Amino acid sequence: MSETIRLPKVKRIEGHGRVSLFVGDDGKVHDAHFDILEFRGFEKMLLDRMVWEMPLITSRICGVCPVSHHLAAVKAVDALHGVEIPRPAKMLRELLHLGGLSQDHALHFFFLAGPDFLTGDGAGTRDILGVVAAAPELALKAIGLRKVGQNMVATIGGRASHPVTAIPGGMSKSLSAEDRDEIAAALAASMDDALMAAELARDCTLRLIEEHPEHGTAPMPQMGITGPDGAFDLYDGAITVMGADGNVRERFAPKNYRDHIGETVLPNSYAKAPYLAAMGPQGFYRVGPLARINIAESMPGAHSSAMLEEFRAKLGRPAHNVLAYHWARMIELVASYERMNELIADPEIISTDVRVKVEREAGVGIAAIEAPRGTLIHHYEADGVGRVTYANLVVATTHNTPSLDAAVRVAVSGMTAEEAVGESAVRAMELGIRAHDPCLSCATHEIGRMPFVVEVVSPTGEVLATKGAS
Amino acid sequence: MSKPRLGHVVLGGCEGCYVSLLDAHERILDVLDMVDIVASPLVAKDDLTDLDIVLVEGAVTNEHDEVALLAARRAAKVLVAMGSCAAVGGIGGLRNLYTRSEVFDSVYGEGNTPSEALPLLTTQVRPLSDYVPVDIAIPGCAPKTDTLLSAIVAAVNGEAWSLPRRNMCDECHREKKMLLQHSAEFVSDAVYGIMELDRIDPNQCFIEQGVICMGPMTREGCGARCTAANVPCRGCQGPSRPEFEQGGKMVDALAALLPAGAIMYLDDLIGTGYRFSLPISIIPAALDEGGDGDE
Repeated sequence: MSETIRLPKVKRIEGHGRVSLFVGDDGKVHDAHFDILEFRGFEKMLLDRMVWEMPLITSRICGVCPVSHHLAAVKAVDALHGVEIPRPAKMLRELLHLGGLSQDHALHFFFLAGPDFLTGDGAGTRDILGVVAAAPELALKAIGLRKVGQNMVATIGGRASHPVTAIPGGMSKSLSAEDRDEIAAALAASMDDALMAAELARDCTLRLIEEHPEHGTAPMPQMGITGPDGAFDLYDGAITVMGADGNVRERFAPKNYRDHIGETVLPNSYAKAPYLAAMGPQGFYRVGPLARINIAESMPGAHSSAMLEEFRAKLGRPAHNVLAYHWARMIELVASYERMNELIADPEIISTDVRVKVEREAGVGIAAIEAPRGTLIHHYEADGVGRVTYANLVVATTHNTPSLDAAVRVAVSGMTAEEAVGESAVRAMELGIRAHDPCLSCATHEIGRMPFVVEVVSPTGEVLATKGAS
Repeated sequence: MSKPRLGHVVLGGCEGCYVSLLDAHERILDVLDMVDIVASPLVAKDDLTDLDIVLVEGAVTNEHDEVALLAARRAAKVLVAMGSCAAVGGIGGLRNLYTRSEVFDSVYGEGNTPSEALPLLTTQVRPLSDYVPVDIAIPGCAPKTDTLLSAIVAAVNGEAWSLPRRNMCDECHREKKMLLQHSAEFVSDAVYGIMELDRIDPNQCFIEQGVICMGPMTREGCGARCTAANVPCRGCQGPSRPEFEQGGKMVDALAALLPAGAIMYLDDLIGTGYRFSLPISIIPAALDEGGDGDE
């Protein structure tokens, strides 16, 4: 008789999730899914709201990456009104975005995923407490990197949690010379820590990949935004798709996303599953740091360029082992620092020309940004009064649903139910899931939270065993 | 003497409250010195028993949340409702305007209802106090880091902790002139979205500029950071007293100041007035047709 195993709560990820392992008549695991269990229904709640409020409402989808939703929304509402914002406003938004991304990447690497590999197996607990106890110096550096990012968000965005200053037409306020100098000094003082993080991530990644080659056995196409000539760009550009073989397959403007990305509903999850329309419903792909680093043709500075070269020399292009997400994420941290330094040094960054007036009108607005976890698309339609008549959000963790499924599947495929819920198997699944830095709040804008549970389920849907607290 | 045992439970929300707590940066280490964290999405331990303090973030949105909240209450001496979702229902409470089937149809397409293997949504999003006694409630989306720390310190020391009860205007720097004068004229000829202003005056009250600002009906304590950043208040701290109708009182207050027709037609009374407090308002929630008896 076949059955399904559902593993309880995966911890140290953003939100609540569950792993279901499907066991066949031979008693072996033959399929696995990562399910998202929460639902908030944002796409419905956005209807009838005023469209210029979208940046303030959708930031509440995720407390970890509110900046990404705030900016994706405001870019979409700008597009709806056909406005071109002043250059200084665009630079401030990008700076806000990279500040938010830096804190998020540092949080994940050091405190969410890092405890699996930063302090070694011998040291205390595998969590933030273990890092603080075993490596207090490292913990302080991590806290410092987060602080630089969050302080930037607070200064430019008005507040660190759920920032507010990106308004249709630009920014509600400019940056003072004093605040500019403070940001520049903080960036300069923490650059070495960002470089240290990237080296540490490289060493950990190479070790993890050696220990877990199975996490490289599910090659997929990669998707991410790139700037002109395929340059690394987290804020704006064309959505680029690279095939699993490394050839660029598609490059399209975010407003045409519907022609390139289909969405299906999953039977056992509150998340939807997008796919590449050109490949049909099995056209799964990866997004996020690993995809972006695989796709990028060039990086913003000398450090990140050298790191990209080393990454490719060691892991090939595209790299498919999902444990390489960690290294890619910290290369992105360094690239963000380089780009932030460039922006903050631009004399126009303190210009007071930060907005244009926008009149309400009917229209369609679609925009995309690279959120910390991957491509984020916001799509709104509004009537002449400014009321939202349609909203669709495609978020990073949703794009990554098939990759998350694969990470679970490759870790336990062919095992018996008993083996699959054993400690080493659970740890291998957790490693693969956590490498993606899944954020369920986002995937379920829709949903939030995801400590994970594993359940073993029979072909008739009966739950035969569970593992982990709920 | 052993340290107080602290647990942290996340229900339906965005995790922004724990991020705000993490924004204590180095001071997080002081918190770690002060308490023993025995359960949290961030730590490996998950021992939700015999707690001195439990921080609960998020609202009750599904059957798992109900179970987790009751377990947290049973386990803890002091229960802290952290953030507006936990304290007053929060932004997710806007779901209460629709039935569950309406929400599912809209998000997943007509007739695509979620499988039985998923936790059943409650018909309404509710704050914690609808289910269990709450000892300390900290509204805010997200609450300020310092506010969270002060509440935790009070809980550890067994001290009383309470919120300010005045409204946000008391801590806002903006000047009010026309609002305070008797006049037969409205303060503005229309109601504007902030993007529609020729110039956003950084020092004049937003209502006097014709932009709806929820400050007058919103509890102070946030530091008025949004209005300082040249953006109107959206009421994330909830009403200054729970018995106040945040959106309804706003309409009352604005009736003498702005043209009523413009408020009704050019802005979104529910989504702005009750953005964070719909679950504790008198606005009736949509109920599933036929009622499926899970409430």
